[in-house]
This record gives sequence, structure tokens and C-alpha cells, in this order.
Amino acid sequence: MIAVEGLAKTLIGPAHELAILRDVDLTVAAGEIVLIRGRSGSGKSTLLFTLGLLDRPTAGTYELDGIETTTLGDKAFDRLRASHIGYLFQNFYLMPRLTAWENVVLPLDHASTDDRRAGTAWANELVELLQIGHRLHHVPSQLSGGEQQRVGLARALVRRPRLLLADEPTGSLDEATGASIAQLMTQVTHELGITAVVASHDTNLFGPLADREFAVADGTVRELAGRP
Amino acid sequence: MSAARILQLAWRESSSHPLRSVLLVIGVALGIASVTTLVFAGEVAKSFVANQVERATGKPDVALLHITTDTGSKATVGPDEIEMIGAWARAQGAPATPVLTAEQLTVQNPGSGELLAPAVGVDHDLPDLRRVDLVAGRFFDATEGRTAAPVVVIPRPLADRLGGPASALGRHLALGPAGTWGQTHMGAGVEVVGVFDPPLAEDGSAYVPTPLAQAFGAATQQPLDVRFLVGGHDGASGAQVASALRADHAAWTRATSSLEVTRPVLESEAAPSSGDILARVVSAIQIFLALVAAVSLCVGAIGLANVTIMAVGERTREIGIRRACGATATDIRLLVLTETVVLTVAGGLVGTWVAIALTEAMAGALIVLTKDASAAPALPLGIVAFSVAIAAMVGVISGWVPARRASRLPVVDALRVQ
Repeated sequence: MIAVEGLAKTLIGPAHELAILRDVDLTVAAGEIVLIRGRSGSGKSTLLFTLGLLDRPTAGTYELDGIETTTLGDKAFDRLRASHIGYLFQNFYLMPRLTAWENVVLPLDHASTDDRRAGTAWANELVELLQIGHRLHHVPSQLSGGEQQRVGLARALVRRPRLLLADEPTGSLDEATGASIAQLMTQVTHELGITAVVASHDTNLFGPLADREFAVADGTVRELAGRP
Repeated sequence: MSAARILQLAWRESSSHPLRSVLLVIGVALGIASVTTLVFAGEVAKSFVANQVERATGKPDVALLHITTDTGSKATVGPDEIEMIGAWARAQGAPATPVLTAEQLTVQNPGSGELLAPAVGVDHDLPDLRRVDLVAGRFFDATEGRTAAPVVVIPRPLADRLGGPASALGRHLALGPAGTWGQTHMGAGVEVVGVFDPPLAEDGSAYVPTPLAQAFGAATQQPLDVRFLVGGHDGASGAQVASALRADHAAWTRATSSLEVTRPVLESEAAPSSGDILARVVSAIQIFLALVAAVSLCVGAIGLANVTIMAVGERTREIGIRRACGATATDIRLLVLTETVVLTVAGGLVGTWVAIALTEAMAGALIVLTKDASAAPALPLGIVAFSVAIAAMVGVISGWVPARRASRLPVVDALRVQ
């Protein structure tokens, strides 16, 4: 599903260059759940943004579902992101003025009419699956953190992505709620056969749920052989 | 993303900021209403000036061709010549009608022979070329004009002397010098069929049909002074048409020199009228006012662009979220652009509605001032369509830069904005 080779991301400033990621090699098979762990500022989020086609690497290659992404034009790049990737953010990133339901179906705003029709039916199933059916008419400020993240998860899955990227998905939640979200997320991705890459420093929570773990440190990525 | 979907989203976004959207709509509406109303106000002013000048002089955009014989004297010009010249002028595309005068052609009191007013022979189509404000009765029709019917249309001062317009209608007056042609040839005299307000600059002659004046000239051996009123044509003024006719006629008379005594020589007496000059001044003022309004509209557009840029700045994270959720850069650009266009078109429609209300009020005031329902111009549909198009253009121009900026925001940076 994911094949990254020699990937680098360097920020070029007026006075100096800052290497965020260096020579990253990473492969993830379809349906796998992978945990990326590392300290704050280690480059986890940048790796996720790059894998999620929100940013382009400065060097290396990145093949997603058999498509080499580094050579794609902007439009094809955007379309591939829309069709293949769903995001779950630490801070939920819900639209504050939209209701929970409107947030869930937000990605369908940019889909074709047929996809929107099918996506709406699927969104109805998702909200029941994620147990937020009773909160659909509330705006984010009226929802708890756990409910907001469930809305975020439903939104990430509403276009049936091939790859789910979660950046510290439980970082803003208490332990119990975080555990429930982690459980729900892995359950749903397994059931739907979605590949998931989770960036989290909470190895106790996601470690047991992930198929493999990678550690990010100083811009380099290495796979951890011994699972806890 | 389909156009309908973009419109729907743009409307949702606009309606989620009601105060900002309403203020923007009001701003654009005021600009559009100002431009439209000021342009129309210029039309009203021109119309008012033209109306007043026309009322004062009785000469709208019409030139006078004065016909004399080749000897320079006012020898009798017969019916054939008048018909020939009229047909010839009309063949050039110029509306023309003859005006016949003679020194002793007058209307008189049939009993006492008191001279009441001078009379002129005119065709029934005179009101097409020269303002005739009827206050009672009617103008003589085509049949009466062709058959030398004994009818007369008199000026209001004369009607007042006869007891008022209503009393004057149906009265019979004598035509010509008392005791001569009038009594000999007219029998019961000419019947008053209409009363009109003469132009302020003229004392006012009574109008009789052209054949009647010609019969008078033939019977009394009075030389007729023949003039032709010539109207504008195809954008040319009456004076320009008259000049062209005169030049054309000069060439024609050289080619047909066998027409000797009755060969007419045309002499233009036309000059730019005070009405023309005033209309030009009003046009200049109109352009100036429209420019002022256009500048205010431009200032409004810049303000709109500024507000949109600020709104885009406020929504940076939302834009990042949309991009992360599948929106392409084009989607974002179209969305922001459509939002501004929706608001400005809404403003344009509101402004047009306000302008229509204001212009109707102006037109009503003009009718009251001039007492002439035909004096008020209608708001041309072209101006309405132009206003809405301008509003849409303002939306595109003011939304283009913010839309471009929004679509070029790096997604990661947009998501990280607090």
C-alpha cells in the first residue's frame, strides 16, 4: 500500500536549512495498522502529512497504492488524496459552525453526485457504528472530546479511504475516552480492511493494537523489531 | 464539484455570516443604485431640459428650410412644387413637413372683421416634427389636410379671447382679409377643432390645412412663403439633415435647370439650438456624475476585496480542513470566488431594485413638473442588465485575489493556523 524510499523533507529558510525527515524508507502492506512513535518535534507529523499527500517531500519517492506520487501534478495529487486518504487529527479540526452531521459529510461536498449519494448512505451507517447518531444536530462546541473525535473518525471514513492517517488521535482525550477511540478506530479499520498509520507517543494504548511499530528520531525512521 | 454544489456551499457560507454578508450586500447595492440612479438622473435632466426648451421654442431637433424662387422673391409656390419638395426630402430619409405663410393669411372675427391671429398652412403631420400641446379638441387629420377642409386649430390666447378653450371649440371664424376672400370663398368660415398652447417664444399662429392656405394664395394672388421643417434622421440632427438636403438639392437643380420659375432654392436657417447646447451640458454633467459614482463603486470593490481577504484569513484553517477532506485548489478558488460573486450579484439586484424605485420617483416628479406624461424617460432595461453585470464583475475582480490566495495556501500551514 505504501512504499517510501529515500524520502526527505527539508525546510529551506533564509539563513539555513532544516532537515525534518532524512532518508526515510518505509513500506506498509494493505490492511496493516502501523504505529509511528516518537517525541514531539521528531518529525512524526511531517511524515504523516507527507504520507497523506498534504505536503510534498523534497527528495525520495513515495508510491501509494501503486501510484508514484512525487511526479504527480497538483490536480492529480489533490484527487489522489481525496480518493485514497482519510485523516484523524489530534485537535479534531471540525468546522465549528457546522453540525456533527454536516462535519461528517463534509468530504462529500467535493465528491461527484453519485459518490455523494452513496457516501450519504454510508455516513448514516457510520454514525450508528460510531454511536453518535443522537448528536448529529449539535455543533462541535456542544460535543464532548470523545464525541468530537468520533465525528472526526466518521468524517475520515466517509469516502471509504484506502489509507487512514491518525495524528495523535487520542492526544486531546482522557485515558478512558482515548482507549475507547483507539479501540473503535482499530476495530473499524480492521472490519473495513483499511490500512492505518497512527502517529502517537502513547505506545501503551496503540502498541498492542498495531501490527508494526516504527520509531522516528532526528528525522530518521526505523522499525522496531521487538514488540512489547 | 458541480456548479450547483459550489453555489449551494457559497450560499451556506455567506448565510453563516449574516452581518458581514448583509453589510457587503448593502455596500454593493448602494454603489449600483448610485451609478444607475445618477445615469438615469442625467437622462431625466436631459429630458427635462429638452422638454422645457421645446415648450419655450417649439423647435425640437428640427431645421427650417426656407424656399424662395430663383429670383429671390416670394413668388407663389404651387402645390406641385410643395409636394415635389416634400417627397424629395422624404426620399432622402428625412421627415419633412411644409409651413406656408402669407402676409394677409389670418383668422378674423366673422362679424366685425377683427383680426384675431395670423394663420399658417400646415400638414396634418406637423405634430410629428413640432411640439403642439393640445389643451382641447384635436389636430386636423390626414383627410382634412388633403381636402382643404375648413378647419382651424387656434392658440390658447385666441381661445381665451373667445371665452376659453371649451367655448372656442366648434366656433366658426373667418379666414383672410375681411370682406374679400374670407367671405367670398369660405362661406360659413373655418371651424375651430382644436386649441393648443403655443411655444413661449412665439405669439402663436392658428393652423389651417396646407391646401386651404394654397387656395387662399391662388385666389388672392398672395405670394406664399414656404418653409419646410426637417427632422433628424439616423442619428443626424435636423440641421445636419437640412444641410445634406440643401447640398443634394443644389446638385439636383444644376442637373435639371429646365425647371425655371418654380425651381426652389433651399436655404438652411438652422443653427445649433439652445436646447442642443443645454443637452450637451447636461450630458457632460451626467458623465461626470457617473464617473463619481463609478469611483465610489471601485472604492466599494476594493473594500469588498479587503473584507474577503480578511474573511479568507479568518477561515485559513477551515480551508486547510477542506483541502484535507478532499477539496482541490480549484474547488477552494471557485468557492471563495462564488461567495463574493453571490454577494455582489445579490447587492446588484437589491441596488437595481432601489434604483428602479428611485427612478420611478424621479420620473413621477418630472411628470408633475412638466405636466407631460411623455416627458419622463423609462429606466432602460440595458442599464438594469448592465448594473447586474457590473455587480458580478465587481465580485469577480474583488474575489479573484482572495480566491487565488486561498487556493495557494499550503495545506499543512493552513491546518496549523490557530
